[in-house]
Amino acid sequence: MNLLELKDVTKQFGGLTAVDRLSLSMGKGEILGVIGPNGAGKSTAFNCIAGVFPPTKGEVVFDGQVINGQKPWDLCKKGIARTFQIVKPFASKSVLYNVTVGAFATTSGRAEAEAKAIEVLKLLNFDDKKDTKSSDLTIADRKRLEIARALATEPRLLLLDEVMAGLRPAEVDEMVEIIRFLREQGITILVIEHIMRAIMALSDRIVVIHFGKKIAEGTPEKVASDENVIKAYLGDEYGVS
Amino acid sequence: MTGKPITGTGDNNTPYETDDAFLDRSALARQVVKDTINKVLLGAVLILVLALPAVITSPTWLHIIVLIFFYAYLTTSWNMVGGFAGVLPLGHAVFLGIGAYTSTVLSLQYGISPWLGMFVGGILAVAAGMVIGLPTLKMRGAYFALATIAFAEGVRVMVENIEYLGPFKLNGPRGLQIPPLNIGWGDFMFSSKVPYYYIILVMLLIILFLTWAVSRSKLGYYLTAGGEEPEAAQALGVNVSRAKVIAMALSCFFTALAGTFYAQFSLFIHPKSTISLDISFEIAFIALIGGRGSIAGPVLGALLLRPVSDLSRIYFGDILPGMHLVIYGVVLILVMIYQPRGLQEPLTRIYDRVVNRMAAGFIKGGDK
Repeated sequence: MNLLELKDVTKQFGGLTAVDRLSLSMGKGEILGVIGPNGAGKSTAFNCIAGVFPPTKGEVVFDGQVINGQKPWDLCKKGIARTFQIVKPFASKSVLYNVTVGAFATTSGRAEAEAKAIEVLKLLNFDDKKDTKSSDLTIADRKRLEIARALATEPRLLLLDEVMAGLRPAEVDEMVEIIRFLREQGITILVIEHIMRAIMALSDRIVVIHFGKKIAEGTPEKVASDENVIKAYLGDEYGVS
Repeated sequence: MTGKPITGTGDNNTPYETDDAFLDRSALARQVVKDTINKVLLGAVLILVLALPAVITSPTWLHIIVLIFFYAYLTTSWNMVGGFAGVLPLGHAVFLGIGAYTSTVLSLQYGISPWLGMFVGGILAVAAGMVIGLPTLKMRGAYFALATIAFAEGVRVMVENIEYLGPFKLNGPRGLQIPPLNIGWGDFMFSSKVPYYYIILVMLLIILFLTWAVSRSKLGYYLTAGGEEPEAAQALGVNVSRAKVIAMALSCFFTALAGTFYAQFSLFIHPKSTISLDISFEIAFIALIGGRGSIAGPVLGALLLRPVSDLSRIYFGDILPGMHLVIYGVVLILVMIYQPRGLQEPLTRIYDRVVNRMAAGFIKGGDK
C-alpha cells in the first residue's frame, strides 16, 4: 500500500492556481524527488502535505487516512516530519536543546527525550556539537540540525525542502549519503531539490512540476531525457533537437 | 552502503580516546566542585534572607524589602508567559486586581478567610486570562500586548465607576478598606511586618522553584521553541497556542495570589493601586531590564529597580509623580542597546567566572 497519495490536489491563492490537480503516490521506503523551475508550485504542494494550509480541492492521503486540513503538530504525531528551506533553528539554544524539542513528540519525560536526542545526534555523527549554540553553526550544520530535529520525532515520512541549497559540493555529497542512510532506516522520503546532480543520484523516481501541473514522472534517466522537462527548464527553442 | 552511522565532516575521524577520557575526568571533577560551590552559595543566600528580619528591625526598610520580593514574585509570574512564551503581556495588573478584590470582598462581606479567597481569586484570574488569551495568543507581535492593555484599562475604568457588582460591594474609586480587627495567621493579618516578609519570601521561593521546574519540562521546551520559531515548533509536534494558553493560565493564577497578599499587606485597595497600568508597566520593565525568559532575571530586575522606584517616590513624589517610570524608560533603553538579553546575562557571566576561579582554586589546593 502507498504511504502517501495525492489525489487531484489543487491549491488556489485568490485567482492564482499554485498547484493544479496534482496526483502522485509514494510507496513505503521510497525516495521521491520533486523538481521544477522556480515558482512551479513545489513548495506549495509540500506545504499542503505538511499541513501548513489545506488544499483547495483534492485529497491528501497518508497511510490510508485523509489528512486534509490537519494541523502540522497533529501530522507530526502521525509520523510526518519536515525541514524548512530557510532553516529555523531555535537560535538561542544549543543543538541538543533543539533536537530535544523534537524528541518530546514521542515522550514527556525530559531525561528520556534528551537520551533520544543524543541517540539521533550520534546517528548523524553530530553529537560532538551537541552543546554548540545553534546560531553559531555553519549553514551545512544548520541543515543537518533541521534533519536531526525532524528525525527525533520518529517520522515514517520525511519531507525535505531543499536541504542541499547553499551547500558546497563536498557537503552535498555528504547530505546525499545522510538521506540514503535514513532510507535504510525505513523512512520514506520526499525531496524537493534544485541541485540536479544530487536529486538524480538520490531519487528512485522523480516528479516534475511546471506551472502547478505534473509534466513528467519516472526514473531519473527517463525524466532527464523527457522533452517537456527540457522545454520547461531551457525554453521552447531548445525542446526540439 | 553499510548500516553504520555516516561519517561527519570527515576532517577529524580519529578519536584520541585517552586524551578525551582524561579531559572528561578533570572536567567532571571541576563540574562537581562547581556544583558544590553553587549549592553552598545558594544555601548561604537562603540563610541570609531567612535571618534578615532579625537584623533589619526598621519597619520602613522591611516594607521596602517586602515590596522588592513582591515585585520579584509578580515579575516571575509574568515571566511564565511574558518570558518563556515570547509574548508581551502589558496588563498583568488586572489579575493582581482580581486577586485583591476577590479575597477582600469575600472576607469583608462573607467572613471567608483570605487564604481561601486567595485561591478563588486565582481561579477567577485564570478565567479572565482565558477571555483575553484564547483569541489573542494566536496572534503575533503587538496584538496580544495591545489586547492586554485594553482589557486591563477597561476593567479599571469599570471598577472605578461601579459601586456594586451584583451583590458584591466594590465601592468604586474609593476602594475597600480592610479593618484590622482580627489579627493572626487565620485572617492573614498582622501588626508586624515580619510575618508578611516570610509569607512573600515563601511565595517567591515557590514560584522560582516552579519556574525552574517548568523551564526543564516539556512545557518549557515547547514554550521556548514556540516563542522563537513558531512554524518550526509546530512542525516538530508543538501545539504552540495551547502551550501559550497553559502558560498564561499559570501566570494569571500566581499573579492573582499576589493580589491577595497586597490587599492584606496594605489593608486598603483601590482601582489605582491594584489595576493600574503603572503596575503592569513596572512588571514588564523589571522583566525586560532584568532579563525575560531567565529565572534570575526578574529577581535581579526587582532588586535593582525597586529601590529606584522607592527613592524616586520619596524624593520626587510631590513634584514629579511617576518619575520612576521615566527613569526605568531610560535604563531600559540603555539595557536594550548594550545588553538586549537583560542584565542577568553579564551578571551570570561574572558569577560563572568567579565560581570557575573558585573551583580551580579548590582543585589546585586539593592537589598540593
